[in-house]
Amino acid sequence: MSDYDAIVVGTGAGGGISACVLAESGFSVLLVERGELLSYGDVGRDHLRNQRLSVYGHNAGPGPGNPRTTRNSQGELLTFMPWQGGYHANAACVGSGTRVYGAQAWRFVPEDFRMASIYGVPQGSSLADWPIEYLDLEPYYTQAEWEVGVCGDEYANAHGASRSKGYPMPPMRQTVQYSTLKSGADKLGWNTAPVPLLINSKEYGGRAACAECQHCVGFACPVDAKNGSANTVIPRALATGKCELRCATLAKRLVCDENGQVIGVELATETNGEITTQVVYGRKIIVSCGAIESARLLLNSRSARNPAGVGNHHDLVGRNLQGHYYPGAMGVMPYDVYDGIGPGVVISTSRFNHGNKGIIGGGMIANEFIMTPITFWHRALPPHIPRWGQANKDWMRENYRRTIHITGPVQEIPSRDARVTVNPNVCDKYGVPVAHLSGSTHEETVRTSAFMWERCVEWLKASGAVTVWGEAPSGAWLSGGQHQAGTCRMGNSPSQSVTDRWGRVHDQANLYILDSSLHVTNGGYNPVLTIMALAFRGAEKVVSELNGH
Amino acid sequence: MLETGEILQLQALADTVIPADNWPGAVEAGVCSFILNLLEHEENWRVSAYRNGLLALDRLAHSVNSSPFHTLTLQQKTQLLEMVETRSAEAQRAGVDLDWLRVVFRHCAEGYYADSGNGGNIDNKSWEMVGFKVTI
Ligand SMILES: Cc1cc2nc3c(=O)[nH]c(=O)nc-3n(C[C@H](O)[C@H](O)[C@H](O)COP(=O)(O)OP(=O)(O)OC[C@H]3O[C@@H](n4cnc5c(N)ncnc54)[C@H](O)[C@@H]3O)c2cc1C
Repeated sequence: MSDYDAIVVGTGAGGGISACVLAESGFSVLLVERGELLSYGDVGRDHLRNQRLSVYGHNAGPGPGNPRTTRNSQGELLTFMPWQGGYHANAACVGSGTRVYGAQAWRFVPEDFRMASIYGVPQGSSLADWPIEYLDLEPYYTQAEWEVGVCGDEYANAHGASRSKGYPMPPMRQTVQYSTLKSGADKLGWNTAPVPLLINSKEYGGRAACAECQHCVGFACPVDAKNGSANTVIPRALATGKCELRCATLAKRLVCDENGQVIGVELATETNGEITTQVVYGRKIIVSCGAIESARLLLNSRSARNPAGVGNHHDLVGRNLQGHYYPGAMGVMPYDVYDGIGPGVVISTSRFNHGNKGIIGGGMIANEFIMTPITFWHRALPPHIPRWGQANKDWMRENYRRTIHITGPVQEIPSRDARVTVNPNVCDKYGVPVAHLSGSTHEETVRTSAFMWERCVEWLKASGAVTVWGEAPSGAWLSGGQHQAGTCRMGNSPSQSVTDRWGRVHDQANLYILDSSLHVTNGGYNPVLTIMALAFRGAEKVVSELNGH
Repeated sequence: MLETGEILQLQALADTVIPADNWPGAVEAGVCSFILNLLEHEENWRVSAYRNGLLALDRLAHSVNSSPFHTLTLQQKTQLLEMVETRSAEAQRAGVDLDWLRVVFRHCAEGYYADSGNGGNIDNKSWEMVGFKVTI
């Protein structure tokens, strides 16, 4: 009595691919998204309301009516709007973050899958190995690179990990920052690599090459050269005629049979302010709502057989929330290093991802995307420069074009207490309890971040920076945000993990999670290519099950 | 919303925060329209902070310079803001709220450097000044 072979909830990095693989295998798919299909114009170029600087709002959702809560150190309840820092938003629209992302397309390295074996488990942390290895995922990294479209230099980006195939496109053009930082790295004896990007460095997939604009990260692409779910895998899914996309529709809860097995989803659709609900049934249900919302959906799906929510018999759903600490430093160079060639992020080093004496893990560091002038004012001013007056104006005028920003994601050491629960007293506009966030990262994350911050400073100085500033990270806080992950970690043991090595929830026959929630650890790299690879791999497994294997 | 007299004070303040030189000052760049727009549509709850802040700044101007704030020279106005920043006794007596003033600094920067769609940065002059060129 299923309405569809599969229901996929969420159209982001994991959901888009899942729908595509299933539909192209001939199965009927309902693809559900709470946000809207946004055109380039809808996303716009508001410098104060975008997914990079969201002072008064943002441009890719979620909108108002979707709060989250947390408690401060005094125990007071705080409620956040989606564009406020404490909310930990990614996006909510067709494509989600992939509609407006920076599109850095990193593979994790083999060590990232074996953190506990390599470093041991620090006291108080929930560090663990993945149930799969780099080589299990390698073919799917390749698939993501070719089917979604990545540019890069496979030789420079090898990092000791084997590759079955190179990138389909060469890296982006080298810029002034590239040569400046390359010479600094050479002095230090550091190897560097162009940053791999889900961007067309040449025509690819029937779409144009990058126009090198100045509004890449946080905005949509003016020539559609940025490759995300909305312009690659979702159109492919729809072209089969087997996939139905339903926007402005929230999955309120998963619906179970009398044995507690998930068989459907209750949906709420908003049309002109009116909300209607409907239950749809599927042979397979795939949850791809992003780490915070996937946990929320499972936790909101309580029933007699699943009293703590679906998949939550061991109190693990929502735990181990992690993202990335992002230490960074800025330096002023003696000459202009701004040439206006976007996206701007162009040179990286992976020298410090592992093998740092006395440090657990590490991370990749790279130069930063082009910043709009107001983002630069908000983020890049040195502490000794006044925020007003002639001195401020002079500094902006003299140094916008001379400043280099080095930063990167630090491999997080997860903590069980960093978690998503649901707040039964605060509901979204559909009347569904919202996500409540609590806890913080493990102290070791802070130590690794401080170490990586020093590397940022070192690179700037070696590259000729006259002055360098930026704060060394201190203090443990919750990280999640755009790189949120880990809330339904995969593993071999049902008492230690939420899903199996494919993403199937342990005690569920037909429920899969295919998104960042699966990440046992989040690598010292931006996460999206790993999410995509896991989705290709997991969806292939769902297809084989639907085919009766 | 702010009244004519208050707007005059706001302009004097904005042009102290971002003074004119070879490039436009705050008022010429549209910063005050940006702020008024913000207060009307986005941050209505800040109107009273602006009103009280501008009044307090005027009190300070009267006590230090014996003149209304908006009639002072750039140098005099700059000195007054420095007094607020260093929490001088006179600034405290006049009741100028440093937290509010910091918000004004930020609002002025946003009006000056953000896209002109927000009501400031007329003709993208600040972008030309820093060298941010939009090619497509
Ligand atoms: C500005 C920006 C820059 C970024 N840059 C990079 C980068 O350079 N490199 C990188 O690796 N990553 C980057 N990211 C992060 C990247 O976008 C995310 O890691 C990725 O999108 C997460 O994929 P996901 O499938 O886990 O979830 P998402 O992509 O967030 O997809 C979840 C989708 O599910 C929908 N949804 C949630 N709950 C429900 C529900 N109950 N019912 C219906 N729909 C629901 C959401 O609206 C959303 O559209 C960036 C993100 C942003 C916003």
